[in-house]
Amino acid sequence: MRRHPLLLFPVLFALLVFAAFLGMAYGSAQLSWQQIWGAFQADSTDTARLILFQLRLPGVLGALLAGMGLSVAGLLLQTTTGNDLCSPNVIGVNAGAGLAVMIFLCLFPMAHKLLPMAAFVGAFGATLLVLTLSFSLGGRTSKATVVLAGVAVGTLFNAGISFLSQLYPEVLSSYSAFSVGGFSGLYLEDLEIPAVVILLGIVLAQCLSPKLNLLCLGDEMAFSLGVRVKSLRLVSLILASALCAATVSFAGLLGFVGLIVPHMARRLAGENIPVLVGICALLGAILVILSDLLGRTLFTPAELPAGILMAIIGAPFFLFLLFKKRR
Amino acid sequence: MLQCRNLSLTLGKQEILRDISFQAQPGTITILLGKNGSGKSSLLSCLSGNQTKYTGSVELDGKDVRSMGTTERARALAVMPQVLPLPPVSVAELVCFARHPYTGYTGRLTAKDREIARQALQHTGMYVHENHKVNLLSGGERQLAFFTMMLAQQTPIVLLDEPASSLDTEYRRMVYRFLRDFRNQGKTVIAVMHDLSDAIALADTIGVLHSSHMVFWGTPQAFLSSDVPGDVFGLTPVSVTAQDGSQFTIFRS
Repeated sequence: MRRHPLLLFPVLFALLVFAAFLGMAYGSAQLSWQQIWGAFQADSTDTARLILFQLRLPGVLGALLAGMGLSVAGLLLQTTTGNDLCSPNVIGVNAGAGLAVMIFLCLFPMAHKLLPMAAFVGAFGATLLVLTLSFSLGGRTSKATVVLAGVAVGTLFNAGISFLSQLYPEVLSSYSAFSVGGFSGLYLEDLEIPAVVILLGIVLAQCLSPKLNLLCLGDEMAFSLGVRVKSLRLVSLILASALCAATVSFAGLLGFVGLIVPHMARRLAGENIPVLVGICALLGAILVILSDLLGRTLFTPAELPAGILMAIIGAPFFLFLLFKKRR
Repeated sequence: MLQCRNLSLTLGKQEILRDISFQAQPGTITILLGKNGSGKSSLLSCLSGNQTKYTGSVELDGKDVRSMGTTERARALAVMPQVLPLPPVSVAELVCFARHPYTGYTGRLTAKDREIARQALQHTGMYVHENHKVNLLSGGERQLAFFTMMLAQQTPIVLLDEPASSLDTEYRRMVYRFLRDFRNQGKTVIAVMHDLSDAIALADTIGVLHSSHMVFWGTPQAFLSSDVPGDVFGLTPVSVTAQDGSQFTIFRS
């Protein structure tokens, strides 16, 4: 049964607020809502304020931004490539970020502060390389060539990561923390630039969404309805890669969000892209905040990175999609 | 008026179209005939502005199609491709897509746009399917859904690539009725077809493409009295009188 899409917004927004509150309240130490409220009012005990502003709030905001960015990027990618199984991985984001981080760790093992910048440059650079290759192979950025070039570049970069890990085994522990993805050790200032990129990216995606709607008619019909198909596809792919790169820079390689959230959003709200952009952003934020929360609370005092939990949830969902498509 | 002057198209080393010139007038149906691979769909693609790597020109009321903006072109030309997509949207949403060239940057439909879409659905009778998903409709219903969309696009020129090729007799008749409706509304209709008998019954003008050239351009009567049916298609026209006295043409090999 399909709900009215516009009714979903207040429901999902309320769920997001609730999930954010849970994210701030629960962890290795529990905070009551009075303590959280008090911490925001600056009249709480130092410990509660410290926990909230140094640990919980950066994590919750990071999860919110990562969920929004990756989900909207996934929606853009699936729409522009016409491939339901497309995700940020496919356009080389993770491999590019991974290789850049690996090279950076090998060259500057102590400069951890600059890792987000390396991840951003790697992710964005890899997707631009994929788009350039796609342009050269297919004449233009066609659906198939983007995916094929992404797979080729991803495979090459992953080989580079494996090669470097053999040469420099001492950087593997730092790299694995980045590769599983998560929000521990984040500071609010780490999120400033990614937040601007992600929020601006979502606004731009919303602006493009009426034209993206027409891509389901195929290139020829979309063109006849006044859409510059090739330019739209190129701009959307660059936008998606910027969203992914901004997310990877602080959250690491968080898999499956960009794949599963657009599918969940479509099941809830239909196929109208202008509606789906907002639904994806809210749903992605809720999902990642809850994954992060579960990761922090399920095995206390140990903390499971959100990326691992997303993979545990995401992999079965991916298989479900494959089976459903086959039927 | 749609005018094509000395249009030639070569893709790679293959010559697709050579020195094609014609005029299609408002309020007429022009049917393009030819064997598979003769360049009919490529010509349609050039006329629609989708293919631009040709020499010569395609002009709409004196303006080159290639120099038109995307919105301006979308308000002038509606296109139905040979293979229709299977969008996962409702018929009503599909018909509303046709109003995209008239919406502003926000893509928001006005009350007028919705009214035009509703009238198009009423006109073709597709309002009974307006909430049905296009990808779940039968082939004939889907074709009618796209006709409704073309109607809502309100363009003076409509280009159709084999609009009735996979339809049964009933839906084929409905498609031809809509083509005549377009003509009666003063639109310039250009359609690629394979069925010679249907083309004779429907067209005001027939163009025949053969080996990259336009080997015939004229009325159906002139086509029947020419050597083209035999030379190009290996068929001989036969005039048949039905029991109700009406005459029609069939072709025998």
